[in-house]
This record gives sequence, C-alpha cells and structure tokens, in this order.
Amino acid sequence: MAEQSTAGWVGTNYRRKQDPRFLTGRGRYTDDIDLPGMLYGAILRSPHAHARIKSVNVEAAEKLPGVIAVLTGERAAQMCEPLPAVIALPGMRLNKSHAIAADKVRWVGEAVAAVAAQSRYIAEDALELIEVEYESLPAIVTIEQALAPDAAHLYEEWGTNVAMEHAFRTGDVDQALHEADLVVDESVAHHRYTGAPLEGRAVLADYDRITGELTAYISTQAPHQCRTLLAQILRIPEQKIRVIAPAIGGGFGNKLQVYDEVTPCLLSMATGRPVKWAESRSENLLAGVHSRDYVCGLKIGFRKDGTILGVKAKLVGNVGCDGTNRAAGIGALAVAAAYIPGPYKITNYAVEVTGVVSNKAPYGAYRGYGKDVANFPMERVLDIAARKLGISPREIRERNFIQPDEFPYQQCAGPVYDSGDYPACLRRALQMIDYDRVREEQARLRAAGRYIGVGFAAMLEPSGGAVPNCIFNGYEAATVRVTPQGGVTLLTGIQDIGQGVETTLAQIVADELSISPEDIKVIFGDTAMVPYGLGSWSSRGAAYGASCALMATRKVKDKILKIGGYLLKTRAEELELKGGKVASRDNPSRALSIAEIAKQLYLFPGPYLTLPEGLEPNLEATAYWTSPVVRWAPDEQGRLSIYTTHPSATFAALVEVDVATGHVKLLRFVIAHDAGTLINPMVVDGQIHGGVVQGISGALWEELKYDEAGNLLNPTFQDYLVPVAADLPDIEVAHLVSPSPFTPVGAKGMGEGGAIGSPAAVVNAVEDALAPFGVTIRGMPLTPERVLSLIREAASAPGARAAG
Amino acid sequence: MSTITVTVNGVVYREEIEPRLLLVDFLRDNLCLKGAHIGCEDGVCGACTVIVAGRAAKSCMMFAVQADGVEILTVEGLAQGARLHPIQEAFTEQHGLQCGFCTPAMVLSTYQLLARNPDPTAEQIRRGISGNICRCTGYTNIVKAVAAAAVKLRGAKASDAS
Amino acid sequence: MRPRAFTYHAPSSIAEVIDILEQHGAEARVLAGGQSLVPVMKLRLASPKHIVDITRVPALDLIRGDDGALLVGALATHEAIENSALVQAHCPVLAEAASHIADPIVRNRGTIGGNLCHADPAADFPLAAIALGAELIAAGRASSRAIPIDRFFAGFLTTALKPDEILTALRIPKPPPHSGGAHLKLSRRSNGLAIVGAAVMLAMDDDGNCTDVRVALAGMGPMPIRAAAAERALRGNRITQAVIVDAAALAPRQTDPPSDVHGSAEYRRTIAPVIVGRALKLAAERAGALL
Repeated sequence: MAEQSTAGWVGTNYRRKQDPRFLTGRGRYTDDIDLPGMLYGAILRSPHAHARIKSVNVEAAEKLPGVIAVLTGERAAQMCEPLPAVIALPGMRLNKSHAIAADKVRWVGEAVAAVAAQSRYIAEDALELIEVEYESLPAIVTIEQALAPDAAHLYEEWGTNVAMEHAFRTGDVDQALHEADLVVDESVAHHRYTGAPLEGRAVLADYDRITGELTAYISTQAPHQCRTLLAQILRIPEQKIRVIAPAIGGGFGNKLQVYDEVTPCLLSMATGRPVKWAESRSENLLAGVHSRDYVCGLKIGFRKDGTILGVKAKLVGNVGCDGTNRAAGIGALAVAAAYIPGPYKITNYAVEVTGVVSNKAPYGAYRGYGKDVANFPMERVLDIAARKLGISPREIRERNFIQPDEFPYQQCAGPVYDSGDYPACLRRALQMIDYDRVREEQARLRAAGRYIGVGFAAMLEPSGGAVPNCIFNGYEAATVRVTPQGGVTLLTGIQDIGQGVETTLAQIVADELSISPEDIKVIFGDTAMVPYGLGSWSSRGAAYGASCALMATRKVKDKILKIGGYLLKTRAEELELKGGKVASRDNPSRALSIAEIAKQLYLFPGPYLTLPEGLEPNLEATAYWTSPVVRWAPDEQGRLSIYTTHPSATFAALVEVDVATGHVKLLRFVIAHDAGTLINPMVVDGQIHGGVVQGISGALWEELKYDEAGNLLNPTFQDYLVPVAADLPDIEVAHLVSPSPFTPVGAKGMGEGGAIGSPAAVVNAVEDALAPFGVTIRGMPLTPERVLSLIREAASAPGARAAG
Repeated sequence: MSTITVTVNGVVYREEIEPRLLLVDFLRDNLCLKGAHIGCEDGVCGACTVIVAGRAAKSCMMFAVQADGVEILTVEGLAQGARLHPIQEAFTEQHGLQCGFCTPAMVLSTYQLLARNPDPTAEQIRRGISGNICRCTGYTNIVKAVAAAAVKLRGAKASDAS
Repeated sequence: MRPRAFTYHAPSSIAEVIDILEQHGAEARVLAGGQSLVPVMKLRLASPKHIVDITRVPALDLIRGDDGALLVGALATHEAIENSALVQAHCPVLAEAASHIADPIVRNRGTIGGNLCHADPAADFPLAAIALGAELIAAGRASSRAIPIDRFFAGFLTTALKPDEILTALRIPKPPPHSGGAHLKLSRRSNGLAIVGAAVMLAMDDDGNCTDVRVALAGMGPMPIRAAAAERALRGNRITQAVIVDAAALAPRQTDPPSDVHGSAEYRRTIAPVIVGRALKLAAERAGALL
C-alpha cells in the first residue's frame, strides 16, 4: 500500500497514472497490437461524389499473391445487415446504408471494396487492381443545391433532401421584434472541419469461425455501443462479441460511429483470421466524420440599452450524407436549437432547424456538438449589435447575462442551468487580457499603421447529455472491487481517450476510501470486463463517470464499515474510514485497515467468521447513475431537458492583423472558466488548452474544402492545416468555481467548452482590429485571402470609413 | 529483397526486407517497437519521429534500406529500466500529454532540441517542436514540459561536472 | 499509405550513379533526403521502378569555399546549411531560406539538391539560388557542366537535368560588397509552403545606387521565376522606400500564379508586391542602405 493515504485527492494535480506507458512507447494503441496469423485490411474508396456502381471486378486483385480475400459491396451485403440508425428523433428521416456501398456511392471516400492481405503493402497493391465501373451522377454539394426545387434526391425514397426538421417557439417573438429599438438581422456561416485525432480509426478484428465469437480491438470512444451495433450488423449475438478499446489516440467525438469499423470484421469473418485495419490520414479526412458546415440567420430585437427582447433563429446544416446511421451527427443541430439563448436571459425565442443531405462526407459528432453552433452566431451578432447601439461588447453581454442568484435557471427552450457566475467570468477574462491597456495600445499602434484587436465571447457548455431514442442516451455504470490485499479496482464504462479518467476517477474513489489513487486500478475499454456503460462523449465523465464511481465507492465503503464494525465489535455508526482504516471515532486505536478487513473476509479466516448477517461475502458494488435533471417527457411547451451540467466561461483573444496581406497573428488567448469543482485542475487546464486550440484552428486554419463536383480538395495534413506549436501562443486559464448542485462531486463536464467559445473570440478580435475599415465578418476560416478581401470590400463600399 | 543491419537502442538487428518497406513499418512490424506512430502520410505530423544517426527523422519518410549500417534511438531506448528520462519526467509533471499518441515523437524531438540548445526560449521551443503535431494539448503544457526538461538536464549536467 | 515496389540501388560513386541512371532512364529516380519523394511515392502519385539512393556518395556532401565562391554539395542538408558558418559568412540568405523550410525534423534530412531538383514552384531554396545567381553543377557520363540557375527550372516540377545527369553541387559566387539579401514568405501555417515567397539580392554602390538586383518569386507560376520588371525598376536607381514600393508593384508582371486551397491567383498577385517590397527593404537595410 502506498504511504500517503490521506483523503483530499480531488482538487489536486495528481500526476496521471497512464503517462509512463505513453512516454515509453508502451501505449498499445489498436495498430500496435499484433495477433498470430494476422492479415492487413485496406479499403477501396469512391473517387466520385455521386455515382451508380455498374460493376466491380476483383479478379485481378484476388489473383495477386498474398491477397487472401476481397470483398465487394454485394458480397458484404450478403454477410451483414445495413447500418442501423444510432439516433431516431421525431422529424428525422432515416436512410439505408451499408458499410460497403453496393449500388450507389454518395460521397468521395465511401467504401466500395476491401481487401485482406499478408501485408499493408500487398493490400494496397490489390486495391489498385480492383476495377469499378461507375455511372456518374450530378453532385449536390451546397445547401442551395440540396434545397433547389428541381434537385435530385440523394435518397430517392425520401422525395426530399431534408433529413431533419425541427422548430420551437416560446413567448411572442414577433411582438418583441416589433417593440425593439433595434433589430439586427444577420446571417453567419460556418465552414466544415473536424477533429482529426492524431490516431485515425483502427480496428483489429478476430473472428473465430468455430465458436462464432468476435473479438474486436477498436479505437472507439464507446466500446459498448460498438458491440451493440456490430451485433446487429454482423448478426452475431451480442454476448459473443467482445470489444476492446485499448489506448485511444484522441477522439474528440469523431470515434463514436460504426461504419468502416464493420469492414475489418467482415474480412475476418471471410478469412477466419485476424484482420487489422488502420486508416490513413487521407482516409480519415475523406471518409469523415465531419462537422460544423451550417448557415445561421439570427434576427434579434434589442432595447436601446442592449437588452435582448426576442430572438428568431433559422439554422440550416449541410449534414453531408447520412448523419444518422454512420454517426449521430445530425443531433447537433437540435442541440443548437435548444442553446442559442446561451448564458443570456431570453424569453421570446423562435427557432427553425433544417438538416439537408449532400454528397459530402457524413456529419458526425465533434467537440462542441451543436453548442458551438449555438455560440458562434450569437456571440458574433452581439458584437455587431453593440456597434450599432453604440455600446461596448462588454456592456451588451452584461446587460443580458443570467445573474448568479438566479440558479437553477429554467432556460426558455427547456434546459435547466445548474450554477455559475457569468458576469464574474467576463470581468476576470477582461482583467487577464488587460482590456483597458490593450485599448490604449491599440490606439497607439493604429497611429503607426498597425492593427491589433481584442475580442471576447461568453460561453456556455452544456455537458453530460442524455439523448432520447439514441444509443447515446445517458446513464453510467461503475463497479468498485476491493482485492483480498486491500487494493481497489474501479471498472468504468467511461473510456479514457486522453482526457485522463484513468486518473481522475481514481482520485474520486481514493478520497471516498481515504486511500491513495496509487492503490486504485481503473479498468475501462473492455466489454468483457466492465459493466454496460456508454463511453466518452458529451463531456460526460465528470457528471456520469464520476458520479457513479462515487456511488459505487460509497456502497463499498458502507460495507467496509459494516464488516469492520462486526470485526471490531462496534456499531458501524461509531466508526469512520480514515487513512485507509476503519477506526472507532472515540478510540482510534481500535482500528482495522481495509487490507486487514479484506484479508479476513476473503481469505483468513474467511466469510463465515467475518461477515455480519445479511451481507454477501465481497467488498464490491456496482452503481448506476442517472441525472436528476434530465427530463425526456416533453413539458407543456414541448420542451426537454437533456444536459446535466453547464460550465461557463469568457474567452478573450488578442490578435494582430497584417492589413497588407490579411494574415492574422494570434498574440494572446485567455479564458476565465467555471467548471464547478475541479477534480484535477491540471487535467482541466489541459482539456481547455486543447479545446481552445481546436476552436482557434477552426477559426483560422482548418477547413474541409470541397469543389463543385464534391471532391475534397485537401485530404492531407499538408493542405488540411492543423496548427503546430509555432503558430500559437500559450493559452492562459483562470478558474472560477461554482459547484454544480446536480452532481454529487459538484464537478461539471468540461471537455468541449474550449472549442465552443474560441472561434467567436478570435473572429470578434479580428473584426475589432479592423474596426477602422468597417469590416463585418460573416464567415470563416479567416484565411489571409478572406481577411484581405474583407478589408478591400469594406474600403470600396459606399460610405466607407477611412482607415486610421 | 535487401539485407540490412541496423542498431536500434543498442541492439544489432539483421533483417531481410523489401526495399519499399518504410522505416516506421520496419521498427513497428519487424522489430515490434511500437513507440513510433503513424499519424499522416506526408510527413507533417511527425508522430513517427525517431533519432537516426543522432538526428531526429520522420521514420515514415525513409525507407528501411536507407538505415542500413545506422544507429537508431527510439523512445523505447530512452528510459533507464523503470526510471524515466528527465524529459519523460518533465512531460508527466507538466501534463504535457493527453492521449499520448504524439508523445514518443514529441519526447524525441525535445531530446534533439535540448541537445542542440540546452536553454531555449519559449519561442525557440515552439519552433523546435514544430515538426510534431499534437491534437490534444494545444501545446501550452508541452512548451512548459520542454522548458522544465531543459532545467532538469542542465541541472544533471552541472551536477555531473561538479 | 505505402509505396509500390521498386528496385533499390545504393551506388557509392557519381560514376555508378550515372551508370544506373543511363541504364534505367525515365524509370529511375534519384533519392536524396526523400522528404519530397517519399511522400509522393506513398500516395502512389509517383512510382519509379528504380530508386537510386545517392546518400552513400560521399563526394556530394560538402560545404566549402571554392576560389572565392561557395560550393554547396547536393547532399548538404537544410539543417547543415542553416547552421553553417561558411554559408552565414558568404551568403546568409541561403541560410535564411533553409531556416524557413518545413520543420526542424524535415530539415535534418532534406537536402538542397533534392529541394532544387524537385522544382516545386513554392519551395524555398530555388528562390535563394536564383537570387544568388548560383550555378548548378550537373554530372553526366562524359563530363560535368555548369547550368546557370536561370536556365535550371524548365516547368512544373521539371528541371534542365537530363535523365542520366545528377546535380552534384551549387556554386554560389561571392556577393559584391554593399550587398544584402532576404528571403521571406507568407504561408498559412508556420511550417507550410509559401503562398507567395520571395528571395532578393541587392547590391549598391557607395552612393546608394542599385548596381545589381535579383528578385525570385515562389508561388507565382508553374516554377520558381524571376521578377524581371521589378528588377529593371531598381537597377541603376537610388534605393529609396518609394523606388522599392514602385519596383515591388511590378512583381506580378508576367506571372501566372495558380489558384489552390491556400489562395487564389488573384490573391497571389495582390500580395506579391507586399512580400517583394518587404524582402527588398530588408535586403537594402542589410546592404547598408539608409531608407
């Protein structure tokens, strides 16, 4: 047992338990695992955005020495079922798709055939020998094309390209807009980008033809849902499938789906041998999943002082093809509809949401999942409105914030906000960026022909979602077991994907048992070991993962006290667990360590002498946690409440724009953040840093760019611009702490917030820098070319202001 | 097929290989050294970085035949038994890693950077590790880790000298 | 992604290299640092049947003085050039260009010969070599020849080298007194290729008049090119801010920039004068001009 066994681990920067493995090259990601007799899989992908498959000839590929199996869509369809829907909400249309396309391809990158061969090299050689004859069809790339009256329909049976429609209305928006002193009507667009985890998707499938059992190592955020989906698709009873998610090289929401993941399993079933497939970067970027890609119109009525009277929103997302079977991406638009009011007091609100299909890669989950969609247009329009009202961006936000004494707050579209101090976050962020001094500096530099700007954005991060009628619904399970030596294992359905639950959950269990996290082994990512749980998405670890771990630990603690009391001949109520020992409150020398109790119970003398009546002979408990605030039954207004915790923040960015080239340099980035109780502040900081950089990167660099024919123009890291260290400043973080009353630890899930508020902060800062030119930014990313053309357009517009 | 003799982490290997075999596949598949990872195909992400003949190299941008007769250091060769190298220590202390996928390469990039410049500025650190993409950390804590590693290594050197 | 199969050759002398190239003609490709070639082979955009690895030819790896000029072997790495005291003293703009290429790991293996022979229109060394008026030494079966840099680039990813020739070295003449150079580029990511790049060398007389100038552009056509009109506007004139601005404005003349994901042709034309103007100003300051 470790020396330091005092409580108080929650809130400390406990060093991560997993780090030594990763630091020494022993991380064991899926592609690092080899099995005897293993083959390598490769997938042939469609070069067409939209085409009918006329024929697939695999003869030459099959003859290539070293090729063991070749699968076409037709053969695959005989072996398995279509991909089931992972989400089915009212207003959504579902389509039928297969892991390997058999009749029609609907995006560049869709799988059309697959090979299993003795090496990766031979597998790729074989792909080149497969002849596919296509009949090209016109591609639908944009929202306008998809909605055009004469548009062809991607899924002919639908008779439309609209995959989902959703509307909600509360209060009297039209009246509010009518009464407003100012109505701002703006439309902002957000381009498509994605998580691009450094480890792409990977599967090592091992099917035993005799037993009919499948073991699949999958780089996934949700091993149990993978198992459930694979069982349906592959027609294998679920108990015969074991999904192991070993180390995961990043997920960010991108690893929740099952589609190409099916193919290595099919290849293993076809060959009776283990088959490993690790997607290449270009496959990762081509085959999806992708995110964002929407246009949002906001019509907001203000009083002169900046008070928001009413908001009318119209959101249209280009979901690519298939946002329900291949991923739950389409739900992000519905989340956006619920959260456009954000941290502001809004009572008159109407929203219409449309998701249209196109011949782009499937929409999927990505850090933000619609909360970003809710944030960016609102934070953009508030800056624009402030300018028109002649008030500061700070004032317009302060005027509308929900106040700290108003929690829990029933937001108009359904959610219940737990806690927070939004004005304090704003004040802190402005203090950190030294707002007033920056304004002086700005004036001085402008006189010298240099343009710096400061921008900020308030952010609300709904986390710990529970989606009805979706395999990502919302409960979690944990089992705590004490070993006969007194050590502890925690089995959790949460998946460590880099966010560190292997360590943070151990901190929670350690505190409850007053032992060291060192004495706790956290086990995750194996459906044969851990109870059915839902994995890592929606930043649910802090709410669901931590809560059920705590509940299970409490059950075990209770049992330890009872058995300890029996052995010490003392009533459990008179005992406490302290320093890893059960001791009498009155006489601490009457004590037994957890290890002694475990030994006496399990081994010597064993249960018949150590167990009080009515208890089972183990120090083990499983607990499930469901949220006290989730409400799926619609209220009288048709509203649901699906998120448990609501971290908040204000982001502030300082930029310099080179007005001769349009190049933007990010000088500083600060966040005042409130995620309630911090389990491990170092880990929380890391999550914020990473999220923020992904958001900044979306604002400045990353864009999945399609041409008119539906070709992705930048499917490599040479052209899809993920930033490196030299592109960025330090991310500076401060914490405010408003514990959540809805979770037993008081913690709030916070993995996504960084990516939610940062694009608006960056864009607002750039617009501020260019204020002398009178530029309004309505699109991203802020490439030098876009920025320069905005400056030039503004300069040539009638009534243009002279640049300072 | 070509026969190559390579010394990796002090161990000499002789292997018969196809000329087109990439060094990263040779290390991972032939030698089962899985610390070098593959994150892209055009040499941008640097997850496959190893030290070849004393210099950091992206092992997915080299054929294994080119390493014939050469000494290679991979991340597996850095720790002394159960004791982490000071750079590895600094990374865990400063939380300079999350998913860990880029980490072996980051550590080796740092190894080279600090060998060339034992006391880099934050700016030099950022440039020095710009051959490696990290998707998780936003680099803030990696930069801190590299600076902390520099202090450790300078300290170790100073105590060696005295 | 993995490359197609090939036959590997590892000659140890220039003569052997030429033999192999002669034997296999267009089916052979020279491999030096491999930082451009290996990725395109992995993507199967190029699939030479024969790979001629020249990294075991010792005669190609050198940086040394040569009768007042500087001789840089084809196998000199970006890193070696970036940190060479000889290069710094003789032609710092070459070191500056080296320091702007990709990232430190790529610079460890990438070679100047490879960078020049790949002839990427957005690459950095071609610009510096043009600005410096380098001569490229090509070795063939019978003899060596010197190719002036202005005649080296022949089109998109194409050079004047014959199939059975290799580039062995660059010979960089000694820049005149009162001269200065600069390499600058605008790229979206710090380790990225140039949207537009420029390298300039500028020499002045004692009165501050421009006696010679060379301006090279990246990203402005299918290959690295010179901005002749801009050069003409400077040569013979006294170097002032105004002259530089006017000359830089001519940089897009007779260019044919591409449109790609990083910038349109129009954008490239718009910013070329900015990049060239800044490079000229820096070079003039380094030459000792009082602007």
